[in-house]
Amino acid sequence: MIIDLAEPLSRLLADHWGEPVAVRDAEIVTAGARRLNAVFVASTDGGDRRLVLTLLPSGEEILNDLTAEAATIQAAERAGVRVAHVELASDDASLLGGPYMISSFVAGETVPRRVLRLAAERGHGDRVVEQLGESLARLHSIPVDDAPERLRRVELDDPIEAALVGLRERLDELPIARPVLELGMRWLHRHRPAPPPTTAIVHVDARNGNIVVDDDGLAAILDWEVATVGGDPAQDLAWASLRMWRFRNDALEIGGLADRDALVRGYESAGGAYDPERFEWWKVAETLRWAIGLALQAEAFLDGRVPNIVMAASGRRVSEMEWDLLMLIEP
Amino acid sequence: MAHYRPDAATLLAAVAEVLDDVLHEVGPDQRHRVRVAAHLARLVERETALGAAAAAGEAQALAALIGADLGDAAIRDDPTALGEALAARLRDELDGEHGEEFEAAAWSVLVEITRRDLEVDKPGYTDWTGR
Repeated sequence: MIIDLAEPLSRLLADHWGEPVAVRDAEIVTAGARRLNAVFVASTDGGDRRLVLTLLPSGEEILNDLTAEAATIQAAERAGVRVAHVELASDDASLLGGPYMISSFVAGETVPRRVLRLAAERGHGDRVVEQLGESLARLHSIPVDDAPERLRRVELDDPIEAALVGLRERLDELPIARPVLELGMRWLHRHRPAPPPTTAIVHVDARNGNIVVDDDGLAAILDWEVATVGGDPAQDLAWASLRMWRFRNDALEIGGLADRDALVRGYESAGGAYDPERFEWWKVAETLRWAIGLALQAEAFLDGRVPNIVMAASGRRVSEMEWDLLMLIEP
Repeated sequence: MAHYRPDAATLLAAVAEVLDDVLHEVGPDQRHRVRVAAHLARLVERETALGAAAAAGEAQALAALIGADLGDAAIRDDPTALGEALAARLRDELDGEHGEEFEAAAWSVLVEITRRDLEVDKPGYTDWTGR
């Protein structure tokens, strides 16, 4: 399928760059239900460039408008966040069969175990996490009024209230109640922080697994698909620190790479405000959110909507999240 | 004969082994599903060995926590009834000095129940008690 795209891709890039372009070595990297990512080489007189095509199949439900996603990555880049540079993005499905985005290929490791191995070899886990903190602070410094118009938004002015409402709604969808999750909700209500002093564009999925790490450190934050305006910046810090993103290096809180100090150092050095209580609250909220998500995946398997064994297996991973949650809310 | 030979646990281990063996024969699209299938076969193997005792322990601990009677027909007939009752109690407003006390007691019970769940779902996971 991707071979068929070489010709329209080369025409697209030729228009964009104003010179002849030859496309070759196209290879699909990921092909999920919602999007396809392919790496390819674009050759011009000036040389070869490795690029990434992100393509949405037409007609599929879209979480985030791809051009809004591209605009967010570009805004982040202007603010100094480490990202893959976006060349082009369009909702015009006639050219490639769906909305698309073309960005620079960023070399480095993305597979979490390989990221951990590289960090161990280079001894730069602390630096990677500091750089992650810096990038997140720069993202969060973008005024929400400057956010791309069609980026998804938190529905309420107070992201804490929005989180509690959302969690309650999702929890109520479970046909069989889970007391650990209810205990988690109680804890969230008891320890509820005030609304954040400012809200921000939050990435929502910044973690080991969505970063590119090279020999020098953090090369890029990937996967801006679920970025949201009006969130609590602490949510991004907390998500990156959950146990499930440490890939068995449990003692190093941030992605199995470094302690929280490194993240906070980087975050504060770039102007971010760190509040430990707010951070802890979001760790609990995000753990609970993921636990509910896994349980709902199992329900989607059980009621026949998604007859995929991987979804079935999710039902038996809820206990891991429940353990993580219980450890976080120890009285 | 009352005994099935080989028993369920042994058969599941055998299924898991077959899946491990064919893992590299299948296309990349199927590899993840086969891996998950092998993982689940081993999980169910553990469940056949440990599940009944875990369920009994859970029922006893929950009943003691909420003051329910295990002899009660409604509870005997519905394995989810005790969990539902505890969940409902945690959902309702627990005011006053006993609220936090009950939550702390619930926390301890739920830690033990979850610990036993994980002996089936993911042995070793509870070795880490950090945050």
